[in-house]
Amino acid sequence: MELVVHPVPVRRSRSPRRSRLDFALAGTLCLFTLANTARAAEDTKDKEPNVLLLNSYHAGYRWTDSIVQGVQNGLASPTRDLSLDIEYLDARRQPASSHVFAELLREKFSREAPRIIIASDDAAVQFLIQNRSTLFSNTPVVFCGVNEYHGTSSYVQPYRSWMTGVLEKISWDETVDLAMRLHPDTRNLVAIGDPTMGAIADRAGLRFPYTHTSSIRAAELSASEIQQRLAGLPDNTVVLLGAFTQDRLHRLFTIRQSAAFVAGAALSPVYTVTKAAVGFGPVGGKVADGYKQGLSAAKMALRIMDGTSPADIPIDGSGNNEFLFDYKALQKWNIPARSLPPASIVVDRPKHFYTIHPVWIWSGLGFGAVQSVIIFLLLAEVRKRRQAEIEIKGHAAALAQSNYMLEQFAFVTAHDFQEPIRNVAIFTQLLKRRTAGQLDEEANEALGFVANGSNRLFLMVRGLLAWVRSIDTDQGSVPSADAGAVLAQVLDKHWPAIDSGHVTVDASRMPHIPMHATHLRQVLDQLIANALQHARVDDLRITISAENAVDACTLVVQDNGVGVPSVIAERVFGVFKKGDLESGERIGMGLAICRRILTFYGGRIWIESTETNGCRVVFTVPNRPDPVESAETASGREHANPLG
Amino acid sequence: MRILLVEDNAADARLSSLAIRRAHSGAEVITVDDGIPALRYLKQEEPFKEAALPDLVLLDLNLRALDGIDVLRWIRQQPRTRDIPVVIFSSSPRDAHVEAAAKADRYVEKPGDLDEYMKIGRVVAEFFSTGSLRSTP
Repeated sequence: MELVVHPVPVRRSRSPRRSRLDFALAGTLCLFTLANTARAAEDTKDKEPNVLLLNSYHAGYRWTDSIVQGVQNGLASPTRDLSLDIEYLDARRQPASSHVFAELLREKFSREAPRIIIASDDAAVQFLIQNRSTLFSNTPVVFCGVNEYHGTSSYVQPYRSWMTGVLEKISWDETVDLAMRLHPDTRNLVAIGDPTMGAIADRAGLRFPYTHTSSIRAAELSASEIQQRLAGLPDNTVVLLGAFTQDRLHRLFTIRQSAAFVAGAALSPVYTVTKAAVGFGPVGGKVADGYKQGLSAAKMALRIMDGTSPADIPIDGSGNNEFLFDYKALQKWNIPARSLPPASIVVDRPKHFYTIHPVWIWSGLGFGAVQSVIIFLLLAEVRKRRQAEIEIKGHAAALAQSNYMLEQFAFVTAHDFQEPIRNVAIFTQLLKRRTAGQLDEEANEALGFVANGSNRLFLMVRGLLAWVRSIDTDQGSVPSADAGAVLAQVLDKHWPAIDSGHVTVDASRMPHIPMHATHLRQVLDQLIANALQHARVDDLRITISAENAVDACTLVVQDNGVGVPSVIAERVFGVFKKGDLESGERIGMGLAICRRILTFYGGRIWIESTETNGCRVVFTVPNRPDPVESAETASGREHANPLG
Repeated sequence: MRILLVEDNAADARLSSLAIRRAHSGAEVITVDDGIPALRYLKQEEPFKEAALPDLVLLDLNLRALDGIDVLRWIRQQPRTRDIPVVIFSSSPRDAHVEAAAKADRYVEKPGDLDEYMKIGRVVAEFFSTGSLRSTP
């Protein structure tokens, strides 16, 4: 229907609000007109003709549903826009309603007949033949699911000019042969279903003459009677299940229901030729596939729509049946899969965990793969670090070994040298005494130089040996010294010099020092001795103080003597270095030994001194000493090699 | 007075003998140059089978074959010799040989000065005059 729009005149005298309303109304009417015009144009567009799929049975009947699906997929095409009408004759449940159905179809398709009809199963084909004159008289038909045991080849032949299709091949012979092979002890074959199953049983009896065959007409018995008959079957029986849809009392059975009912009632294996029944109790058989039937029929319909005459399309009698089995039934009857025919399909196999949870498995595998990569990278990193650590340790070990070798060399050298050097020194002294007054002045002087030199060499060697031995740790496992007690011992040792020199010693309260007492004694002894020997003042005052902080103990030994020039304040800690040119025969090892000891404990020692405020020696010991054997800190590294 | 001097350094052996005889003119000094002949002497084995046990042992520690500490341990283990006074006379300081210092009656470090060295004679003479050895602090 077309709608003619008359533009609404706009009057200048109208109010602005009224004018906007008129404009909106006009716009809406225009849009409506345009939409209707487009629809009309769409309706007149050229479309593919419609297809009628007429099913013998009802929607939900598995066989019929599979045919419908096959037809739908067979007609699907990206280049065709087919209209598919699906109708159900419902012949099983409403067998007497075909005339009513015919009227319904005439009314429905009175305006336009379908371009082609696909008919599934015999009832629909016979319906179309019977009503041909008054219904769809010019429409070609493609059938499928038609059973050859109805004599299709004879009752279709007169109509070949407008009918062709796909025969449903019933593979009872192959199924019976298979059942007899899988159950070689079978002595009884029972076919149950509609009256045609009697012929099945008869045919089987001809091929297996030593096997008793019989049939049960399901429609003539009640369900309970059928159940009793099946339960009473003798051993070594095989049941052949044909289609039955109702019992004597008109109780309806779907394919699935009839399969489960028969397989549940019989104490024998049940075989079938209906695909829809497999999985609900029967073992299986060579089954027809409704989907393939519908697919083949749809392809034939397309050929006819493209211009091929139905008479020129041969009836397809191949069937395309396949052996189909139920895994649970095979297990129940102990039928190994290897005994099945080649290319057999087994349904309802237990699903592998992977089949059920592929997402989880792939997610897990993916996660595991990522984790593995991360772990691999981390392990590689750890390995690199360990290799680096090993290299570092190797270098450290090599350094420690080198230092150890140097120390050993110094020790052995000093130790083994001191004897012959002592001999030279002593016997030179002896020689000097023995030759006193017998040598001239020059010879005497020369002998004096030899004696002094050898004596000094002996002292240096012994000092070097003392330096090397200064950090011998055979003192016990716990380095902790009562600094007060150690200081008292040192002061006792130097008491004669302190008393005779009128020296004042002030000592504050001493803490426990994390050092071995022997080592602390050596350090304090040296510092006190230095103060007594080098201060060179009349009223010498020596002050010893201590401070115990969280991280380290600090001790200070201070005097009010002449001090040490700042330019040599660090140098005096070197081996054989002296800060006092008037120190006589002292060889300059005392402070070097002190530094070596404190370095061993991770501590430090230094001089804060000026030439006017005396000498202030400070040394610290960490409260958690980390003994460093045979290694020097940076401040003492210049003196690490005792051989200079 | 019979003194067993165990010293491998010929010069030290000469000086030590000299120091002992100067301090005690009647002293008999038997010198061996290693721990092995020292044990043979103390065990009265050949060539010292007829020798009498010493009254004092002046013992160096750093010997060539068998060190002085091994000799000292043997001396202290044997009933016949455990009471013989032993004076360690060594180039090494006392704290370098703690065991030896503990087992010996006296530990003297060999000095580098002639006069100080000769004092070892006085140490030995002190034993015979007082019958005991004051242990060094």
